[in-house]
Amino acid sequence: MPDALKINAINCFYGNVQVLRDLSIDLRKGEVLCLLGRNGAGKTTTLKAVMGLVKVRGGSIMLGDTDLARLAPHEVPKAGVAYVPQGRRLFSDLTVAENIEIGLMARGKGRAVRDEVLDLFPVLRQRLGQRSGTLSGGEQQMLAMARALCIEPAILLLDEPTEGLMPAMIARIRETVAELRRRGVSTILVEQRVDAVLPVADRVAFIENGRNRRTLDVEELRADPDAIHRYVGVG
Amino acid sequence: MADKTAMRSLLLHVAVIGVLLALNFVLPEYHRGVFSRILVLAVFAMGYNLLFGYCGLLSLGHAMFFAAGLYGAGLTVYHLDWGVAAGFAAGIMAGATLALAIGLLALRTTGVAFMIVTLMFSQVFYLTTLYFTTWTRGEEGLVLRQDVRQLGLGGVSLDLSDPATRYFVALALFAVVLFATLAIARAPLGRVLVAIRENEERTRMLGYDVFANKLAAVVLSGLFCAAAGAAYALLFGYVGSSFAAIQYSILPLLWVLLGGAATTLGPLVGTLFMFYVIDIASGFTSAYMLVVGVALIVLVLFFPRGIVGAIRERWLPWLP
Repeated sequence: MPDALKINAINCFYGNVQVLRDLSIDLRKGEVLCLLGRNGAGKTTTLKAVMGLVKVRGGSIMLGDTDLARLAPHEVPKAGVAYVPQGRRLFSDLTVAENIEIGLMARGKGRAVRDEVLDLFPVLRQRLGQRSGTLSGGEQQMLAMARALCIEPAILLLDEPTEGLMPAMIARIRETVAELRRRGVSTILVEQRVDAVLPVADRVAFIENGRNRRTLDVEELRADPDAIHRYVGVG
Repeated sequence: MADKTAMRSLLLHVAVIGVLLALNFVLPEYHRGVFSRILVLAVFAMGYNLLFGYCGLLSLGHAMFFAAGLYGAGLTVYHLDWGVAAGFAAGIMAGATLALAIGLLALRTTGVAFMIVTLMFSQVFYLTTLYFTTWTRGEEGLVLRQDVRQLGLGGVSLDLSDPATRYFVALALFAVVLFATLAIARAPLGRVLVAIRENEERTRMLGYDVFANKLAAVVLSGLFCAAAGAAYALLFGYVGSSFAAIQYSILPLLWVLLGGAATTLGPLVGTLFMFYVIDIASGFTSAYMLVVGVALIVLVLFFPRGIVGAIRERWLPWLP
């Protein structure tokens, strides 16, 4: 399978502290790649580096022939990468419809895309006039994903989308990720819990101290459950 | 649903203009004069509201944009014998150009730093008006004679010092800026500005050039404020450096907070309220600012989103 995104030996720093060290990851077209690792391992920083929110020193982040590391942050979504950050970060004073509209306007998308996105999250249809800050946690997560999908991304970056959600909502989010994979969207999913990713991921990259220690197929991981403890000591 | 809301708010704004038009014929002379002034200053407040209310950028230097319009119009009419229309255009251009330059520099900062930087630029502008007294006559200011305040319109000459004409011109400017604000609030730009106010980083992550949109807001805001300043100079015939002082940077903030930030009608309501509280209180006591202070505290306690903001929150959620 060809690569959708190729992160090649990037280094990132917060001040003088190095957070990513020659980190390399290949995201294949149409797959769900999960980044697993402890707190502070560099998972979220990897996503932020792709989005240009953290400056990359050395290395490259190739999307086709484009090096995302050389783009301004607002140009990365235009290249086809959508990011749903941890904690959702909605425009809480705007309604659900307005949040989606902002997403649509970003790439000049129209009603067809809006309907497509709302078909993925039917519950949002009933909440269009409601201020997004008053939605439940699960609904806010759905809206954050819906807004990101409005730009019809080729690559989707999800940072702990199931954090703090009840099991029924977690299942719904998983189903949506699986549906997006069927539609050809390549996804990088950051999670801390293995059980949350195994049902939906194709491969898992173990991040430790800012490095990609190993990338395994989910089948390999299932056959060797100790790998998780061996590589990052999480489970 | 959306169309119905849009129509309802459009009708409301037309009705407000209609009421203001009718007031010209029923208000006593004194209050008509006060209203002319309020309408022009409400335009100043609407310009401030665009940046503060919609985009969330708190400037402490908007007096410089108002004064840029004031001096842009006043100096060209006074020293260069330009006509009223050309002077008005010069005032607007001066404000918009200044806003562009200030925006390019000040938008490199955020939060408190943005407040301080805008305040400093505004103070520089104020001191400049005091320094070049040969041209500005400093605090004493310039008085524009009645004979230069004549607006030629299709063969007819309108005397801007005439109370009725002054009222209609002030109302016309107010109406233009009010509907422009309504259009901006509904346009993609308005939505993006609100998104920036709510979460700047998230807006950038959706692919918006945050700096460019904020700069557009600063320039439009400066342009509206300069239009108010230019109109003030031409309608009331006085151009003085007191309009560039810090007081005129604080006042629009208070008017907008009182009326309701990010509401189209809030700036008018806030300006009107504050003007009349001062007017009435000063008739009873020389310590009228104390009354104003108490009124402000009460309003902020019970209507933290301002008068129109509270109405929108509690009763009329469709208010723009």
